[in-house]
Amino acid sequence: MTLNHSQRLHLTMSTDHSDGSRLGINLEQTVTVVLQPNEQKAGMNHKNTAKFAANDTGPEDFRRNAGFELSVTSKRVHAEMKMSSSILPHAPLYASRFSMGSGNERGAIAISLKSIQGLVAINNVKERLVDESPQALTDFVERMRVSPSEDKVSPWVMEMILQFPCEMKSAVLSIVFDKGFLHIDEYPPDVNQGFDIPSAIISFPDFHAELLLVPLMTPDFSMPYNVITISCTVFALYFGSLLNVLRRGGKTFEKQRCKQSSVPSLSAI
Amino acid sequence: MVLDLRSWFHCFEAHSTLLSQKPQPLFSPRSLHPPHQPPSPYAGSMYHGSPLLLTLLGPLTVKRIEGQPDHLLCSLVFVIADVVSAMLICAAGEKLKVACSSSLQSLGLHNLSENSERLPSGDFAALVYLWNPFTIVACVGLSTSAIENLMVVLSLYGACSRLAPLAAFGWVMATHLSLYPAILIIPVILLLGYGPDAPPRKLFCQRKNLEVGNSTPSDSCSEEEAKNQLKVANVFSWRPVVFFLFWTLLWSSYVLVLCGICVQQYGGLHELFKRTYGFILTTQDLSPNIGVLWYFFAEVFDFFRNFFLIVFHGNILLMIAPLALRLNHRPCFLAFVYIVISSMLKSYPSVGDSALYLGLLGLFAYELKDMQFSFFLFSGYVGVSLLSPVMHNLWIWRGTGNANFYFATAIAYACLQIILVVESVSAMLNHDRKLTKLYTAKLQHIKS
Repeated sequence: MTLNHSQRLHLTMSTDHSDGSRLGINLEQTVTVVLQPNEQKAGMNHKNTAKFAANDTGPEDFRRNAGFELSVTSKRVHAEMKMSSSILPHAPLYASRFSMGSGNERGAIAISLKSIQGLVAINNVKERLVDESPQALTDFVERMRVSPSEDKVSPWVMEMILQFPCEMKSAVLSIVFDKGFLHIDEYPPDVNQGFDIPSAIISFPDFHAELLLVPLMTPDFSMPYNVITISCTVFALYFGSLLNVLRRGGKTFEKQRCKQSSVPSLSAI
Repeated sequence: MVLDLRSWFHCFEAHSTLLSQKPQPLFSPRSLHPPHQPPSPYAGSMYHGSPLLLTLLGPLTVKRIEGQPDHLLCSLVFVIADVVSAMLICAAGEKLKVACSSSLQSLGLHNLSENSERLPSGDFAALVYLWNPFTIVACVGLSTSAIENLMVVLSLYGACSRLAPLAAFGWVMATHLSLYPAILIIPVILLLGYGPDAPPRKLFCQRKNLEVGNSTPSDSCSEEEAKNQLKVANVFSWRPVVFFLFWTLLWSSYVLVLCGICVQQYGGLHELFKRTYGFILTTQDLSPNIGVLWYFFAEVFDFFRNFFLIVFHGNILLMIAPLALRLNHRPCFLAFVYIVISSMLKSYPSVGDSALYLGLLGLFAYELKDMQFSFFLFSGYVGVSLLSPVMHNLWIWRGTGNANFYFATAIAYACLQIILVVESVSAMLNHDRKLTKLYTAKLQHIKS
C-alpha cells in the first residue's frame, strides 16, 4: 500500500492566546495522508496504516501536540522536548514520543508522559534519564501484550495498561530495537528521510503521540551491477583456482603412469 | 515473561556481526501475569535457531546473579564450549600424529616420521583456537557459533577415534544447529572407513607389490607384521561406517522427536524447517555481516534472486566431489577444506566460523609448512579484522562512509579465504607429491 503524506507548518505571531498569555507563537501543523488501498504490494517494515492519525482540521483544534524539532542533519533524528504553547486544557497528561540513540544500527523509541500540574521546561530527555534511574515497571504495568514483528509482514505492537499514582510528575517508557537492512526495492524514494513509525495511541483522553521518522542504514543505490559483477568475480576466482589446483596434480600422475608403463617393457627386453 | 523472550532472541540470532554488542533493555518485568501459553519462538523474525538450543540456553539468559553483569551464565556456557572444543582438537591432533607416524614408518620413511613426531600439532592447534581473537570476539558477542563449532569438532574427534556413536551425535547436532555441516558426512565416513590422514594410497599398493615380489623365508615375523599393517592401512572397513549410519539414524530420529515435542503447538516440524533451514537457504535477512551475500541480495533484482540463490548454494555442493576424489586419503584435511568453503559461502557467516577453521589449520602445521603466501594471509587477516569495524563505524554510526566501504572489506575477506583454501590444498598436494618422490627414490635404491 503506497502512502503519500505531506506536512505543512504555519507559524504566526499572536497577541491573543487561549491560555491568556500576551505574546506567543501560534503553531499550526497540517498533515495530509493519502491511502491507496487498491495496490497489493506488501507494506514496509513497521508500517501500520490503520493507525494513522487524523488530520488537523483547523487552528481551533488543540487535541494534538506539536512538540518536535526540525533536524538539520536528515540522517538522524535528535528530537528534544520543547516548551509548547498549545497546552491541552482538558487532558491530565502531556504525551510526547521521540527516538533516541545515534547511528543506523539500533535505536530506541521513548514515550514521555508528563502531568500538566508539574510541567517544567526540560530540553534534554537523556539528561532526565540520567537524573533518575529507571525504576522497575512492575509497580505500574497492570497488563502487557506484545505482538512480535515479522519482516515485511506485520509491525511490532506493544500494548500496556499503566496505572500511575496521582502525584506522579513524569514517566518515560523506552523500547530498544534493531534496525533492519532491506532490499533495494523496498526503500522509499527519499531514503534519507527515514521510515515512518505510526503514532502511539494513548487511550486515556484518546489523544495521540507524534509521528516519528526513523532513518535506516542504506545501501548504495547506484551499485547493483557493480556488486553483482564483483561478487561473481570472487566466486569465479574461488571455483577456478581450486579446480585448477586439484587438476594440476593429475598431470604429474599421468606422467608417472606413463613412466611406470615403460618399465615392464624394458624388463621384458 | 513476554519481554524476556526478546532477551533470548538477541542471544540466538542466526548471524552475528563483528560489532555484535548487545543492547541492554532498560526494564525487565518479572511479576507480570503470564499469558495462557507462551508465544512461539518463531513468531516474528527474531529467532531462527534450534528449539533445543533455546530450551537449554534460554533460562540461562534470564537468570541473573546480583552484582554480576547480565547473561553471565550464558557466557560461561560459551566459554566452556570453547574450552572443550580446544581439548577435542588437541586430542584429535594426537591421534592424527600417531596415525601419520605409523604410516610413515610402515613406508620406511623414518626421517620424516621422526620430524613429524617432534612437532606437537595438536597442542598448537588447540592454542591457536583458544587464543584466536575471533574466538574471543565471538564469545564476547554471545554468538552461538561456539556450540556449533563444538559439535563439528566432536564429530571429527569421534571419527578420528573410530567412535561411531560420538561421531554420529556430533554430526547430527552440527547439522541440526546449522545446515552446512551436513557436507562433513563424507570426510567422517572416510575417516571411519580408511582411518586418519595418511600418505597416498598407491604407495601402500606399491609396497604390497614389492613385498609380495621379494618375499624371503627369513625374518618372517616382521614380514607378517608388515603385511598386517598394510592390510589394515589399505582396506576400507565397512563395519564402522555401518555403525555410524545406524547411530546417525538413531540420533536423527531422537532429535526430530524432541523438536516435534517442542514445536508441536506452534506449527510442527514444517514450521520449524521453514524457520530454520528455509531461513538459511532463502537468505531473507539482509543485515550486514562479514560475507558478501547480504549486499548481493540487497542489490540484485527480484527477477534473478532465485537463480543466484541456486548458483551460490550450488557452489558449495559443486566442489564436494572433486575434493573428495582428490583428497580421500586425507579425510581430516578434507573436512578442514569443507569447513573453510562452507564458512566462506554460507548465508550468514561470522568470525566464529573463521575461528574454527583457523584452529583446525594448526593440525596440519607440519604438512603445510611449505605453504606460500603465509605472511600475506596473516597480514591480510589482521588488516581485515582491524578495518572491518572501522568501515562499519564509518558507515553506520558516523555517516561519513558508505555501504561500499564495508562491502570492500567483505570482498577482501572473501579473497583472503579463497587464497587460504587454494594454497592449503596446493601445499598438501605438494607434500603428498614429495612423499611419493621420496618413496619412489627409496624403491629405486632398494631395487639397485
